[in-house]
Amino acid sequence: MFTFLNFFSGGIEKIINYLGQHFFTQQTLFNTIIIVGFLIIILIGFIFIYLFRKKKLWRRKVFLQISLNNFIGEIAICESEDELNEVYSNPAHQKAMRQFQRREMDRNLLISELAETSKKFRGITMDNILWLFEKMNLEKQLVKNLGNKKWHKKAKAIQQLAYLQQKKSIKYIFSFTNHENDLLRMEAQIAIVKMIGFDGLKFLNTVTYPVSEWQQLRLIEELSSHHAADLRNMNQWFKSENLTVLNFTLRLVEIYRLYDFYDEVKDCLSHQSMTICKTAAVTISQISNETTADLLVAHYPDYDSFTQLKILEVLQVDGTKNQLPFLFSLLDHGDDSYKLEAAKAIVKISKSGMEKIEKMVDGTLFPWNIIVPQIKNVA
Amino acid sequence: MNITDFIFQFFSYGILIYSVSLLLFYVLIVICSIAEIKLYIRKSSFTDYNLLASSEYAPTVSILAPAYNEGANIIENVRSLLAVHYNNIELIVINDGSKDDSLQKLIEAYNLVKIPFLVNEKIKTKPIRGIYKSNNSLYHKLIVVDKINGGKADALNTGINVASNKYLVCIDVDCILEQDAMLKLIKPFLEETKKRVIATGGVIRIANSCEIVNGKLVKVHLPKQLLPRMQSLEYIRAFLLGRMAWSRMNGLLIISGAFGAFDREIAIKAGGYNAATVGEDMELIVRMRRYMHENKLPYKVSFIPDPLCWTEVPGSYKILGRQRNRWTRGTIETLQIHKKMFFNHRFGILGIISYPYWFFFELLAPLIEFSGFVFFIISLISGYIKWPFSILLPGFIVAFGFLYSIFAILIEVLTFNQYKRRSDIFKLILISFAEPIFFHPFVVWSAVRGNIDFLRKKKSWGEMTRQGFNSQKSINHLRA
Repeated sequence: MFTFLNFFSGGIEKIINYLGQHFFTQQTLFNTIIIVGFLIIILIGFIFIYLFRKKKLWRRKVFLQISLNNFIGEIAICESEDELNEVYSNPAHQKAMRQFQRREMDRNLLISELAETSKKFRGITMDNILWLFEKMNLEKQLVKNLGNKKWHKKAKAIQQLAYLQQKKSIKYIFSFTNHENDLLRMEAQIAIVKMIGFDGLKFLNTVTYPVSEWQQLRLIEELSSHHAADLRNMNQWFKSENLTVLNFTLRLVEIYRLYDFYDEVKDCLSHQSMTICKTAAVTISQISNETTADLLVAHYPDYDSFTQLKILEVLQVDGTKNQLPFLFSLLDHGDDSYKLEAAKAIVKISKSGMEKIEKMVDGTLFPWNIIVPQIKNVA
Repeated sequence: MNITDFIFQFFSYGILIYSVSLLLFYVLIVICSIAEIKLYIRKSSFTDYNLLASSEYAPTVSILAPAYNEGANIIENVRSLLAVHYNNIELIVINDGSKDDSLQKLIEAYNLVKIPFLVNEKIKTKPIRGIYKSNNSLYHKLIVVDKINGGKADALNTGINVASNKYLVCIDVDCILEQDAMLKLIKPFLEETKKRVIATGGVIRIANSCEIVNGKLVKVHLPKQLLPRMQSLEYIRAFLLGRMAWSRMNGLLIISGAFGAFDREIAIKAGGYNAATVGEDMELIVRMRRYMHENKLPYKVSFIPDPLCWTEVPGSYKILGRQRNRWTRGTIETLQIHKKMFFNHRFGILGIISYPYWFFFELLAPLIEFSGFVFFIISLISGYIKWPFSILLPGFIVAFGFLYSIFAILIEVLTFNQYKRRSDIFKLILISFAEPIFFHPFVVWSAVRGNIDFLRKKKSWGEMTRQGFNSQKSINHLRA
């Protein structure tokens, strides 16, 4: 033991000596402090230079925005090309526009403002904004941005092309809909749908990367501003190996009540992915027919508790007397949530449901002393 | 080398090596946080968060707001939470056995009536006395739970049992939320396709001296008092650099209890909050992560650098000391409960990097710093000290600390820049130089006392007196 300690302390001593001689010398520490001190001074200097520059840029941006807003305000209400040309040739506006054309940064600001404005308008105002966009030859700048190596600049350009309805670039944008960069890919998908609506969903035929839940929400929202088109070509999406495509397809069926796809949704109830089964259970309740409730009860044992409870909720709307024996059997379930949902479904399906439940259970004991009044309270 | 020389050298170089390792970690943190913030800001420039607020297909969220003796501001606080910018929510206020008139005030203000309501007790809690809902359809999203006092963790567990939505957002009832806070907090759950996001958190900012009208933040000011001002800098460092970096590495061990979102299913499966610890926010995250690892489920804990929530911080050394004491005990308890993960490769980054980092550089740091200081004094008195070296060593550490703080200020300026006036930034820089003298030693001492209190098995939260945003005094202590 003593020998070990001696050996150990000897080893430590050697390390200490080595470090002391080679790394942690007084001179090294002193030099490091000086370097760190310089770095601190440089960073503080940078902070204030940045703040001054930011303020200067902000002032210029505000100035340009005011000029632009006045200009766009006048352009937006023009009713003919002559009027547009007249406003455009106004010397004050010409001066402002020349300022915008001078620097790339300002041109990009102008494009951003036009894209932002175009979000808010439709019809003739939108046409006038597009007229201005073309008149100022800003497409050239956007195409340049699209060729930028930085993904965020490229994605921004795609977004702006879509806002400004530059349909000439659809083919090029489409090539990004299965791009490896997820943000670039997402913007391209949204851009295509924004410009051509439901037809833009053709990217679902080829996309191999997942379509995130966030992206699905965005697509649904984007589609809501387009007239629902013929979606009979969805068959191949049901066969997609990309599960997120299948999930999204089920959501489309649910939202647009696409009864033609009942059989495809039915097949999804026995899909190997539980996520797909859950979505399919919710979807089929929206396109239900007289066989749906029995179908859901048949699949019920294969599902996890979340989906099972979802099915019980569906039965509260679509259930028939056929499912009553199944529902009564759940009144003995070990989990009180099942008892509650089953009891709710029974009461919804059968007028004498509550009476039968009260005969079967002891209403003075937990949980029935709460479930029974809760259902009566809601009813 | 005699034995005294040996001990002296051992301590000197031991502390230096420890400091250098810590500093190298800080460098890693800076690199990772820059990468993560850059990516987040670029992504955010495309994001229209309003989509989530209005979409009927957005995920459902249950907000859990525990309240204990919050009668002074409870009506306004609940109103503010009901006005949150998100459609698919339910707000569950848990009155944790308040001794004041909080419940009565809520009943009167929101036309509440007691209803029969089955609570599936998936997590064991103290008994519920009643559940209330409003007669007024304007407040249909509000559920008030009245229960026997059991502390914050127990109140949150009750909220989890009552909640019916997919995601949980746990919030301190007196926090001021940014308008789009909920949208930003929920989005990460929807973005990930390869891993399940089990929790998200955002930056907490300091509301002292800010202008707040009707529960809304109107104007941001740097705190006028010295202590809150120093904490402003500390929060910027911790949230913008520390947590962003850990998020990048998927090694985050804590989401602030003041405002965080959780996947309800995983929170329940992991067993909910641990009512036996004073660091329940950290403990839940560690336990959820441990659950995912043990079940071999790919997951992520996400963090966003946006300032989402504003809260009041202690303005006196007494209250600050209690808070830091409790945080230290919470950290020790959490690390002790999950000691199995220490350098355990089965837990991946969590076991190999996150846990050891917290153990060596969060838990042990104050103790090592304190013993280093004692050693320095003893050496000085005994004449053992080598003057140039002993000045240079702390000088090196303090200089690096300044650099780290200045860097945090730079990141703040380059990103969210909450303090618009240049004079505020200048004051923050000055504070970074004053902090090692007026703030840091006290925080270290409070942590040392936390260790002592842990050994004495002290379990109390300690009273947390808040000045209140309307300069009204209110008392917030969830555990009596």
